[in-house]
Amino acid sequence: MNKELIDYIQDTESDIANFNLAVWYENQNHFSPACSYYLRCAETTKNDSLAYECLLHLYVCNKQLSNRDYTCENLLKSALNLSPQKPETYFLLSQFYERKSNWMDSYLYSSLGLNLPNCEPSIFKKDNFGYESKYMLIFQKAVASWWYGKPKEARMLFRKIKDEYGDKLNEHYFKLTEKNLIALGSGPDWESSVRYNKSEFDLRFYFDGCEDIENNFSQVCQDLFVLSALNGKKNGSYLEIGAAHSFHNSNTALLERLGWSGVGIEINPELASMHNKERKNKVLCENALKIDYEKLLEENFKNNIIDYLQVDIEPSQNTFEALLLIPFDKYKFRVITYEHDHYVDMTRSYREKSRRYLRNMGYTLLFNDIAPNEGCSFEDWWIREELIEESILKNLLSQPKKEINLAKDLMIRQKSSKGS
Amino acid sequence: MLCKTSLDMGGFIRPLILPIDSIIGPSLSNPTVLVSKKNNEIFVNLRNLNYVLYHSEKGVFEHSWGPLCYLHQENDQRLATNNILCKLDSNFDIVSHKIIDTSLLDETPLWEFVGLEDGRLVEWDDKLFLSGVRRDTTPNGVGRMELSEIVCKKNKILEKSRLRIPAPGNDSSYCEKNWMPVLNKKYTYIKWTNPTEVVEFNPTNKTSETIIITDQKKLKTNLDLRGGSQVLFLNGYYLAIVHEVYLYNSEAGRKNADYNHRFVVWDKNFELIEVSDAFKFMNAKIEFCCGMAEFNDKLLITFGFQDNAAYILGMPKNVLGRFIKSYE
Repeated sequence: MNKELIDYIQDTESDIANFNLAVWYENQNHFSPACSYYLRCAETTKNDSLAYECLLHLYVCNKQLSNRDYTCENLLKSALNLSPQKPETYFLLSQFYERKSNWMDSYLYSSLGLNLPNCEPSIFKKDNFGYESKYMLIFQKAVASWWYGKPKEARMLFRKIKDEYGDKLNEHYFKLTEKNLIALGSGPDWESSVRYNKSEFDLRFYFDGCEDIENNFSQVCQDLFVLSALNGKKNGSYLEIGAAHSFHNSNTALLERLGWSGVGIEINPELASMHNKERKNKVLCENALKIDYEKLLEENFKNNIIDYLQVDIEPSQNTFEALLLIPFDKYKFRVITYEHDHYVDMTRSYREKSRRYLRNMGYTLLFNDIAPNEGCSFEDWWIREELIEESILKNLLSQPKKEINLAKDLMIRQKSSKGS
Repeated sequence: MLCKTSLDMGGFIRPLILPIDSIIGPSLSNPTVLVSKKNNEIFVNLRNLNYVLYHSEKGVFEHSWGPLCYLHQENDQRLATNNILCKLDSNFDIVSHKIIDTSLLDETPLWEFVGLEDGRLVEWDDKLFLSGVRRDTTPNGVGRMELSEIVCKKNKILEKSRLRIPAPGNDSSYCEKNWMPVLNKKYTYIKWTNPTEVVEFNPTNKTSETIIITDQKKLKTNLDLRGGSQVLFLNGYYLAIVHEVYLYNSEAGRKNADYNHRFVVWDKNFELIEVSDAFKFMNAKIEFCCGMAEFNDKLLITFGFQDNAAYILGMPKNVLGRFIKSYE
């Protein structure tokens, strides 16, 4: 005979006997009788923690039975009334409202949960209801923030998860956080890009022919940096790994207008095709991780010194793996912009790996952690010292070192006398 | 508590459950049991419900709809029943089961209570029947007992025929339910107990007739005893389990209920001669029995727990003596 049932019959008012019989039914996916005994346990026990656990099980059982949202909400709020100091209910309510696209309430309950003095998971007899750590409440709030019209807060919260909990996340949350960080990026164009136009800004580094440049294309002035380092060089050469859009945020569009030649690599067929229609220099529609770079460089460049290398594919790991494929022993690059995407790198490791590697290859990190705004450090700018003009090198090397280099401070300055 | 007493005196109990993917609604409850006269096979019918009963018995965690509510899917307002016929082995484990296929006789339901409810299994004329109440044939939920013949055909359990039993007299009542089939008198039911009214159904001309109304010569009681199990003929008496229900409102005016059961004994002329004290099966406030059968030295008693669970109790016959003097 079923032990749990016999124990229950011997003492039908025993909270534990009711609980064990409920678990027995729940384990067999018989949620309806499980509800009966969880409720009896919750109402019988003098232990509030056990009653709280039972109410959460009742919620889970009703959720499993599907399409009983009113009851699910009811049960969670009963649990909240009973134990408002415990985090699980806030988490589950936030998830509940998320599923209903009720972002305001999802935001509200995650915020309330995060205001608890202690967000550590409760100790349960059976399971933890999917709540393992405070980062899950932060995640809920981040998701709700995004849809509730608070994108900056959403980005900030996802980055907080990465920075403070990156090594503690379970696999599911690790992947979800990474996906969201990448998808949300550094913000909308007006916040995540710093572009030069002659009428509004002055350049911080002058170079030959700079007065002829009306505007640039790069996201954070990479094109101006290349020209600054190479004194406005005309007819230079480039290898662009991760070409993306033909003009928007392009690091090579301006260079091409100045007579540069080069080759780009882009995995997205639509973007590659756009490039090849709209731009003079060609883009190969290829996976940057499956290219024989030695052959590519041999076929496309006349000598083994190339003026500019851009490495920018996502995520961080892929960008680093592409870097490793480049034959630095046979080719040298005067300037490199390397996108480590540290602000979305869940492992927080690839920025350092790339730095070690490029230093070993003989390059100097000139400007680290270029960012359009605070918290979005995504790129390092490198030079090969012996391939840069001495006076320029001296000027560039004399710039103060910073933890993060905001492009708007590094590369341009607002015209102070505009309109007067 | 009947289950505890039975276990203490050598009985057994089994939960009646089926693989969850073989049933339609979430709840299995109000089972009935029959031991076939032909070959001693044990049949159980389980009522498969589309709702979960929420009963805050102590009022600590009431649903916002009240202490007692039926939780069905929010896009389905029906309280729907399917019936599942099971065969049990001699260890009282379910060895086969099938949802009774009613499609040959189904019509579009006109009321929210759909399907045959609280069916009792009975063998009459060498045929297997399930007899319960159906309320979906009129737009206002008029309930009548029905008698459905159940057959096994080509690996299916089919409802072969369905007869609606009119109330005796002018058939004017709103709802007739929980009539208790008398196993050894074909097409005969005890409609209710106090006073005992015995009704005979004529399946040929589909009429019913009250054949006995006793006037409590031997035992007078004011109890409101309602139907329950089938009626067994055991040791010269008729025996059944009946229920009483105490319906009341919470202080906030919300409905609540408390069920009790009793053994009742009639003599061979259906004169009520004994009613046991009230008992619970497993101490829930809502329990419901609609099955009892004799099997060797035991009575098999099937009951539902809060409409959410079903059990079969093997009660040693000598337990009866604890409740009923007639069986001491």
